[in-house]
Formats: sequence, structure tokens, C-alpha cells
Amino acid sequence: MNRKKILILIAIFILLGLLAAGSLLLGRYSAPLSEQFRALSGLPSVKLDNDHRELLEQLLFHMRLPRIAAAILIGFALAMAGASFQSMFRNPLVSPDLLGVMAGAAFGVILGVIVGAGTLLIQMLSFGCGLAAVGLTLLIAGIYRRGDHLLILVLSGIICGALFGSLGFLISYSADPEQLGASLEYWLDGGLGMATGPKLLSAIPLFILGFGGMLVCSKALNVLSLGEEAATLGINPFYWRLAAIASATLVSSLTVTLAGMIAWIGLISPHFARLLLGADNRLLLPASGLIGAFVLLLADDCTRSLYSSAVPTSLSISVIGIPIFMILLCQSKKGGFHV
Amino acid sequence: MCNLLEVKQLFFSYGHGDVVNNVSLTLGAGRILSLLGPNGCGKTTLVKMVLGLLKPRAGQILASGRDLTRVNHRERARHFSYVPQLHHANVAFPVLEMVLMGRIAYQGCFRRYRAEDLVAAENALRQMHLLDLADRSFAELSGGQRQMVLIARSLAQQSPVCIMDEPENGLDFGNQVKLFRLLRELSSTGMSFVVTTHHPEHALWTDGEVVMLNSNGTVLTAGKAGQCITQENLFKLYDADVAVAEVSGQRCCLPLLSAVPSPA
Repeated sequence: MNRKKILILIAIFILLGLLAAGSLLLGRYSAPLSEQFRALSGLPSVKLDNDHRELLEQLLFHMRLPRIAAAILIGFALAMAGASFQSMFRNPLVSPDLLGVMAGAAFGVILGVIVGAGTLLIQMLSFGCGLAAVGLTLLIAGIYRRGDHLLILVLSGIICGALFGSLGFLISYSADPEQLGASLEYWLDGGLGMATGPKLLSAIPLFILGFGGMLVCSKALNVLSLGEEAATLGINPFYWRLAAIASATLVSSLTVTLAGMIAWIGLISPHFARLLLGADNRLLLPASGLIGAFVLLLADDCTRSLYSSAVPTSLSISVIGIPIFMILLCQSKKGGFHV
Repeated sequence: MCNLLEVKQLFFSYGHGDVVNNVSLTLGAGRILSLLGPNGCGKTTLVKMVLGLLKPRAGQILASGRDLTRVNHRERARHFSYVPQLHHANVAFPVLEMVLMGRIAYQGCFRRYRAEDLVAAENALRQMHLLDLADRSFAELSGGQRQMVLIARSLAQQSPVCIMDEPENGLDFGNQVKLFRLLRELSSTGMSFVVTTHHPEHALWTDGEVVMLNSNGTVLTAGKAGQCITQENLFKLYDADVAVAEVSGQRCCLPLLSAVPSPA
């Protein structure tokens, strides 16, 4: 690991910090910038009366701050999980959403809401169903052994995602509409508006477990990304793959419990990171995470300021993300995997 | 002293009939063993079983006398290293990193590489005259350079046996000559090689032993390359007329292209 690459990593981190600070001040409610700073740092207001001051504090600490924290956490998680999946399967076209993990997790969440489960049980259900989904994807891909294994894996992921998406709809029809209300579409579309402070805090220990798991696997992921020969270099590919899949699935499923299915971040961010820093997973995983956090936060800022905070964030990610992805594909010849 | 590798009556089946059919072979220190045979004769299957990538249906594989079914991945990697066929490895790791991966068998995946690993990797690169490429991306290298890097990784892995699957694949003629000269050099220092190849000539270049496999996976003959590779055996193996001649002490194969095919 050379110094230049670590500097790039730090630079991304600083950019993310700046964007986060900027995002806090961004929104439809307008108050003078100086007043916003004062409210944030706890200084008394100069120009605002008490009511307005209270409103501003409410807005900053209970709406914008949790939403920004959610964007960073979710973007980080999805991108890091995407990078892990891409290295592990030696496939630049996979991500938590394309492998069906997100749809599986969403099914788990809907199931949890219907049976009236608590937060922890919902998290576990979504993790369990996410694992089941990626397991099914691998099973389907494993049946068809000939031909282009890269595309077969993606295809079975899409099939599996569609299956779990439909199952989610089916069980929601059999449920009391009051229970799910309008939120069903939200789970399937993905939006950061749902992520409240307490929900975020309850998920953080498991997030840390998943991030730690992936980072522990990062050196093994380098070996796994060589393919079959990994086993001949002295690691047991089965156990390492299992550990990496479990960690990546855990964090991906947690994002679904917070904000529904957010697509594309997990696919495009690792490509950015690989172009900047190369294929070494010990750097690639944290770098992908930071870039994912940056991209999702930026997309959410656009959504919030151009439309409204009720518009699903996923929509603007797709609109912004896909052209970027096409540009990346054109330039990715030397940056990592070849399709 | 035990043989580095001993394969006893090995069978393998993908589900319909045996691909590897009662194959036995031995490999001593400092030897080069070529596996020769037509497409589908089970050469690659055989080396994959030795590497633990496939499980035999029946038979035994011993590494220095130890049964390989009782050896974990790490110990196996300290005994056998692997140079796979070219076309898979499109990864953008720096060359040094690729070679360092040969040290996983000693360090595991939890720890960082230590100074001794770096020394082993740099020595391997120096031995292969690749130090200049250390920081280049593996994906940008030519086929021949990649092959050399993978051999350097084998050296860093410090395993007594290196297994190569069609190493000449994708190399131009000059690089093929360089490769086999290198194998002979390394084998004279005590390292052993198992090489699968499509070219009988290459088995002669190694001046080592050969196992000739029929298309049904049985052994046609095994022994010194110079003695086994004859016009008669090549005809049995490939159904082609090839004369074997000796030029300045070196045996070589000469396909008889203009001759009328003899009745099978």
C-alpha cells in the first residue's frame, strides 16, 4: 500500500465530511446561514424569535441530521458490500441488489411488519431472508454450469430478486392494509425519509459487525478474486466466501430495514473506487464505502432540494447513476475486472 | 526417501464414465514430469485432484508419504504450488502483490505480510528478472510476463512441487523456449514440476519423465520422455504420423504431413 493511495483515501474522506456539513444547511426551509450555524453550535439566536428557533432546531437535529447520517451509513454499507461481492464472485456486474439480497431482505422486513415483530427480530428476519435469497441465486447459477458464468450469476440474481419481490407483494396482500399502510411501496422503492434517529442507533452495532467482518476478509478477498487457484494458495475458499457473504448480506439487509431497497449504489461505487485505487480489497473496501456514502448523500441532497423529501431517493440515484456507470464502463479497461 | 508426489490407482468421474482411469505415477525431487495426451484424456482433471480442487472417485494421492485427504489447504499449498492456464487471470493487482500471495500459505489471511514475506517475494522476482515490473499492474502485462510472474509466485510459495497446466498456452515460440530452459534450470536446483502439455516436443525439451494418457483416461505408457515418445506411441495417442528424430543429441518430433495416412 503506497502513500499516494492512502492520501486519495483521506481526500475522499474529507470531501465526504464537507458534503455532509453542506447537506446539513441545505433544504427548503430558509433561515440565514449565520442562524443555522448558531443553532447547530448551540449559541443563542440573534435574529430569530423563540418559535422559529425551535423549528430550526427541530429541523436540523431531528430531520436533516438523521437523514444525512442514514445516507452516509447506507451508502457506505451498500458500496462496501457491493465491492465484496464483486471481488468474491470475480464479477463486476454484481451488487447486493442484482444478487437478490435486497429483495430477500425486503421480504423479511415486510414479513416482520406483518407479524408485528420488534426491531431486532425484523433485522434478523431481513438478514435471514437476504441470506436465503443470495443462497438461492447461487443455487440457480450453479445448476447451469456451461456458458458465460458472469452473466448467468447476474441473471439468476435478477430472477431471485423478482421472486422475493413478488413474494413480498403476495404476503402484503394477505395482510391488514392498516398495518403496512403506504409504506409497502416505500420498502420496495427505497427512500431515506424513513430512517429515524432511534432506528439508526439500533442498527449500528450490527453494521459495525458487518463492516468488521468484511475488512477481516479483505485479504482473503484478494486471493478469492483470482478464482479457482485461491484454494491452491493455502486458504479454504468455502469458509472465507461464507464469511464474506454473511458480512456483506448482513449490512445490505440492515440498509433495507432502514430505508428500503436502494439500488445502484452497490454496483457503481466499487467501480469508481477501483479506478482510483486499484483492485486491492484492503483499500478498495473502505474506499468503496466512502464513495458510496458520498454518492448517496449527493443523490439525496438533489432529491431533497429539487423535489421533496418524500420522493424515493432511489429514483434520483438511477437517473444520475446509470449515465455515470456507462462512462465508467468505457474507462474501466485497466481498472480492475474485465467483463 | 519418499517421493514428493505419488499417485496410486486414481479414478475420477464427472458422472458418466471415468475420465481418469487407474492412473499411477511418481515424482522425485528435481524432476520434471510431463502429462501428455489428446484433448479430454484427463490431464487437467488429474492435476486438479492433486491440487485438491477435485475429489477422486477412488485411489490415493501421497505427498512425501502423507495422504492428501488428511492435509488442509495451507499444508497442501506448502507442498504444491500451481501455475494455472493463462486466460483466467485478469486482475489488476500490482505484480509484487501477486507474488506476495504465494506467502498466504505461511501467513494466513488475518495478518499483514511480514518482512520475511517481502524478502521471499523480492527474491523470487529477482530470480525471474522481474524486479522492474514489481509495481506494474498484472492486468497490463503480456502473456509471457504473466506466466513468469505466476512462476515467481510459485517460487515465493517455496513448495517443492510446482504444477503447471499447459504453461505454453498463449506464449510465442521464443517465450516457450525460455520457459522450458527456466524449468530445467529450476529443476537442477531441486524443484520438481508436473507439466500438462499438448506438445510431445515440449516433453522432450524437459529431458524428464512423461506419462502418456489415452483418450479414455488410462495410461498408455510412462517413463523417460526420450524412451516413451516414439512414432508408434504418438500414433496410438494422437492418431497422427509423427517421426521422432535426433538432431545434435536432442530428440524432436516431425509430423509426416505429406505421407499417406497409414490404415488405423
